[in-house]
Amino acid sequence: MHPGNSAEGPLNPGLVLEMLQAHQRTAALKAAIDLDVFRAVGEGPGDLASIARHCSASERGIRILCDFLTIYGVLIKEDRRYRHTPTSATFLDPCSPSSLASIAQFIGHQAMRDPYEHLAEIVRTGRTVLPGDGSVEPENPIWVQFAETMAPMMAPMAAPLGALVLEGHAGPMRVLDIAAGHGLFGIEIAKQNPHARVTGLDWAPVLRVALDNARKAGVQDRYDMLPGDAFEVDFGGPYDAVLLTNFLHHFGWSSSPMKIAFPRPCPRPSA
Amino acid sequence: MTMLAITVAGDAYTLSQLTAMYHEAGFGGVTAHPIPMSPHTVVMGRA
Repeated sequence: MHPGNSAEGPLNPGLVLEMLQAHQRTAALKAAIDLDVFRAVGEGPGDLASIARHCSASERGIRILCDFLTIYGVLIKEDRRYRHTPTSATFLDPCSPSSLASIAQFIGHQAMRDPYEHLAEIVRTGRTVLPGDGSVEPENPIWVQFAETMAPMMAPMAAPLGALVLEGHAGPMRVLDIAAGHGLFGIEIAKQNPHARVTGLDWAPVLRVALDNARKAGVQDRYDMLPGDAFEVDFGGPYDAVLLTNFLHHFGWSSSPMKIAFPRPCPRPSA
Repeated sequence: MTMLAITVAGDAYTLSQLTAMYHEAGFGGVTAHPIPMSPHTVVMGRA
């Protein structure tokens, strides 16, 4: 049972105070990532002066920040030196292949944070205070940031998603990746099936990130770009599989991309 | 909460709601495939 709902023990305001100050945890983690604290801790030796020097920051600031991070379990402090916990070593040190540090740039993006300053108003009206269509406003630059920084969070699911879509199919096939973003899911299909040809659909600046990722994966010769609005662009095709990832939830039922995009013939949609 | 904050009408949909969306768009055989060690689920449908 959640502590706030527990009938056991005396009531205390801890949960309320914790929620009122939760912004401190977000800000502390974002600051530590921005200052490169986790790389400094990983490289050692972990004393205050070394970390402060690496981060070009004051010793007082680093001490209080690192002590705060220690309280919340993403650093360990022993004998006046800081070192990684297993979590920070794996997911926060930028030298780790599983580092998620870059996603702070998207999640912590001003456009993603600003609406929370007006959440009561949003609840009253039932819609974002962001202009136009909010996150899906045409050519919204946050999706370039998404494509550039969120790949570490999405990469682990690319291989299993690719295997699910392919179902062992090894022959020629065409795949449409709607709202491709970083492009990793379509790219993974091209990696697993050397006869697959993938078309990424997204805004042109976003697709440049996807194409760069296709180059890194060595599949750029089988990666085509279809820039534009997913609701308006001609898909071409036909396709053997369609990816529609991390997209549906941005829309209401009546404007769902599933209803609007697929009156056109486009066989075998997936994911 | 994210969809409330940054979208006009976005939402968190259940599998049954997603299945209905797939059916309305003309797709059947909808199946859900949780990705191991991940919070994500792949939902697949067939034309």
